[in-house]
Amino acid sequence: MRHRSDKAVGYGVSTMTRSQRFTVGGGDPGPVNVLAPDQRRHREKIEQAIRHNLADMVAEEHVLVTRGERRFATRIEHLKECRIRYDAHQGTWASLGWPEGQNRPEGGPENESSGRGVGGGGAEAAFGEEETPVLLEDLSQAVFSYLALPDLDPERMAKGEGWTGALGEFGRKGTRWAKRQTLWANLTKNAYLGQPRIKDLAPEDLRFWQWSDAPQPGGGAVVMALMDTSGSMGNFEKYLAKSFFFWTAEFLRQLYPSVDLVFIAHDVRAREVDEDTFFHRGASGGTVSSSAYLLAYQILEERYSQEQYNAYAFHFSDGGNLTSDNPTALASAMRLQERVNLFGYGEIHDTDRSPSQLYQALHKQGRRAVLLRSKEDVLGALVEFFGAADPRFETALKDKKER
Amino acid sequence: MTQINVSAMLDRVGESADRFGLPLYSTHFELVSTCQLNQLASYGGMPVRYRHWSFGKLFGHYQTAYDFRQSRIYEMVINHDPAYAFLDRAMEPTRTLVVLAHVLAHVAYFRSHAAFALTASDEVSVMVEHRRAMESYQRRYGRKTLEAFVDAALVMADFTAESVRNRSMGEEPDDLLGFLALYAPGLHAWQRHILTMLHQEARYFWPQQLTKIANEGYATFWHRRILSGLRLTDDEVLAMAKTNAELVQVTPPQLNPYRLGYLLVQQAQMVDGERGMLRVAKELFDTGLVREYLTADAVRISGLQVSWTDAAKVEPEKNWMEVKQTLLADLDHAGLPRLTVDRKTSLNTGCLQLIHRHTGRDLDYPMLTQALTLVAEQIWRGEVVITTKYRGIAHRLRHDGKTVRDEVIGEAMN
Repeated sequence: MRHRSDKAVGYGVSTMTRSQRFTVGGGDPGPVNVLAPDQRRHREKIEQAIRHNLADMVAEEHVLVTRGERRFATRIEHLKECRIRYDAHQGTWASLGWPEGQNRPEGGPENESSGRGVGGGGAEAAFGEEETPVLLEDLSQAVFSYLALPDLDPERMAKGEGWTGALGEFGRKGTRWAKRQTLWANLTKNAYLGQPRIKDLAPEDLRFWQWSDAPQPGGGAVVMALMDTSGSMGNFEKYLAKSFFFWTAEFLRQLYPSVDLVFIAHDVRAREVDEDTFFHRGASGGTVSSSAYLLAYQILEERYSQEQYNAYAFHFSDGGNLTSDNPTALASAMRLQERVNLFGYGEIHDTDRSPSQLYQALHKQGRRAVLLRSKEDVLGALVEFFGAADPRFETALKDKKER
Repeated sequence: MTQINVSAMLDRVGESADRFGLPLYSTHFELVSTCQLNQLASYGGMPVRYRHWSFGKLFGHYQTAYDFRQSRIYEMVINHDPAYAFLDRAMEPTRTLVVLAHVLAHVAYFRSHAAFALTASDEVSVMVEHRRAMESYQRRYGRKTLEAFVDAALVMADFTAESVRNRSMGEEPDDLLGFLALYAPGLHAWQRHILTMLHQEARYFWPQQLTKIANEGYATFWHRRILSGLRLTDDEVLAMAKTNAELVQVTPPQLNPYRLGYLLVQQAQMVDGERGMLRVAKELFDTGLVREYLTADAVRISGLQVSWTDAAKVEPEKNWMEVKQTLLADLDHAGLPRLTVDRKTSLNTGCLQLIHRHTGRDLDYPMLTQALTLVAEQIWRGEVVITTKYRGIAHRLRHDGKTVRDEVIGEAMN
C-alpha cells in the first residue's frame, strides 16, 4: 500500500456521498504486501528455532501422526513474545457457555472443554495456545539440509518406469533443423563427388533432429526396513525405528519419484509384513538376524533389479542376536551390503548396556552401525547413515550426546 | 463491490442513522483487498507501523485463519479525525449494509466517548513518523541491536498508566514505560526516543483495550437499530440475519465481545432508556458496563459461567454475583497485571523497583523471569527487582546484571 504523509490515507479518486459526509476510495488495486519484511523476519526466527530444536522435533510424535495431511507437523513454543502476563494455567475465569434454552448443536464444540479458554484474562490469547505451527516441509528442509546425498553410483542411476522423448538421431524429415549436421551432410556429399567443401546446399542435405523414446531418468528407490520383533523390542524401540524409517523414506522421496518400502520383521525367522504389522504387532522369541538379511537379499533379487532401483537397507535391533548366528549374520550382512547402495545397522538400547557382538563386528569392519539410546538419537542415526552435509554439525551432535 | 455501490448504501444507512439520532462524523471509506485488510489488522488498524517481526507473525495468523475460513475480517475502523474505515472489497453487497452501519457506530463511539477524548487525532501520520525514525535508527545501529531493544521495550509497553487522561509521560507510578524512557540510566538518546515513540503508540491503543466489549456492543446495538429503520429487500434481510447470527455466535468458552457487549448495551437501554445509551456512548468502560448492567437475568440469558483452568470442570455458577466478580476481574486493567514502579527507591538506589499488586491471580513465572532479564539487560542496564506473590507467598525476583534470583520474602497474609 502506498502511503503519503501529507494526506495520510487515500489512494486515488474518491466518490463523495450525497450528504458529503463520507467519501469512498477504491483502494490500491495491487495486493502489495507491506508486511513482507516482518513476515520474513518472523520466518527467520522460526527457522532458527527449528534448527535449535531439530533433534527433539525429528522424533516428535506429531510428525508421524500428521504425515497424511502434511500440514502442521509440530509446534515450537519458543517464539512466544515475552510479556508479563497472568498465569493462564491457574485460577478461574468467566466464559460464555450455551445460553439457557439453547442446546449445544449436534456435533458442536464440547462444552466441557477443559484447559484454556479465553486465555486467563481478556487481552491475551486471541489465538488460544500461543505456539508457532511448523510445516512438515519446513522441518524436512531443515533436517535434509544436514544430510548429504547417500552413496549414489551415477552410472547405475536407477531408471524409472516411464519413457520420455529425447533428442537423438538425425533424419531427413522433422521439425527442428540441425544446422551442423546439414552442413556435414553437404560436405560429405561434395567430398564424395570429389570437391570437399560446403557448397550448393540442396534439399537432400537437410537434416533434422529426431525425437526418440528414452527411459525416464531418476527412477525408483527401495528401502528395506528390517526390524527385530523379538520379545525384547518394546514400544520405545519400535517408535525410534519408525521415526527413522519415516525420515529415510521422506529423504529419499526428495531424490526419487517413487520410494518403495519393504518391511521385514524377524525373530528367529524373517517374513515380509505390511507396515501396520511391522510397527504394531507384538512378537516374541529369540533373534536370528541373518534370517532377515537373507530374506532381504532374496526379495531384492526377485523384485528390484539393480538397474532399476537404488536399494537401501536398514536394520534395527536391540542387539540380542543369538551368539551362534553371529558369523552367519555378519556374512549375510556383507553380502546384502554389496547388493545395496547403503546398509545401516542401528542398535537401540534405553540402558547403558554395552553394544552387542554383531554391532562390534560390524563396527570393526568399518560398516555403518549406530547406537540409539533416546529420541534425540534418531537425527544422529540419520546423519551417521547418510553423512553430514556439514561436518561441523556431526561434531555438534556428538558433543551434545556426550554431555 | 464498487465505490458507487458503497456510496449509495452509505446514503441509505446515513439517513436512517440520522433519524435515530446517531451522531455522524465525516469518514473516509477505502475498499481494499482481503490481504490488505489482514495487513491493516496486523498493524492494529493502521496503514503504517514500524517494522517488527511480531506484526509479521500476526499477519500470518490472520491469513491462515482466513485461508482455513476460520475467521474473516470485514472492516477496520481507525480512531482518527477524519475517521478512516477499510472495507473488504470482496464482501458480499448484501452484507455490506450491515457492516457500514456497524462502522458508523464505531466512528460515533470513538468521537463521543471520554476514553478517546485525548488520543491523537492524527495518529496515522504520527505512526508514519515513528516508522521513519525507527528505520533511520536501524540503518545507523543495525537490525540486531534495534530488534533486541524493541523486543525488550515491548515488554514494558503494556504498562503506560491505567488512566486514559493524558498526563505527561512518566508521571504516574503505573507508567513503567514512561518512567524508563525518562530515567533509565545509561540509555542513548535514540533509545529514549524509541521508548517515547512506543509509549505514544501504546497510549493511543490503550483506551481501545479498555472498551472492547463496550465498543462492539454499542456498534452491534446501533447497526441493528439503523437497519431496522431501512426498507430492506429480501436478500438484505436474509444477509442481515445471517451476519447478526454470526456476530453473536457462541463458541464456548470464548467470551464473544459482540454477544456480551450487545446484551449489556441492550440492558442499558432497557433499564435506563436513552440516558443509559448516553452513558454507554460517553463514559462507561468494559468494567463499568459490566458493573452497571450485568444483572442476574443477564447472566442467565447470556450463559455466562465460571471456568476453572486447573481442574477440568466447567459448570454454570449458581451464584451470579460470583460470575460477575470473575468477569470483572478478567476485564480489570484490560486483563493485564497491575505493576507500579517505586520511583524514589529506583532513582536513589539505582536499582529498578517494580511492584506487582497481586489481585488474586499469579503471574506467569517463567515468562516473568525472561521479561525481567530483557528489561535489566536492554533497558535499565542494572539491577532490577520485582516483588510479587506466588501461590500465596511473597517473592522477590532480582536480576543482578547477570542472572535472575528468586527470593522468598515471607508468608503473605492471604
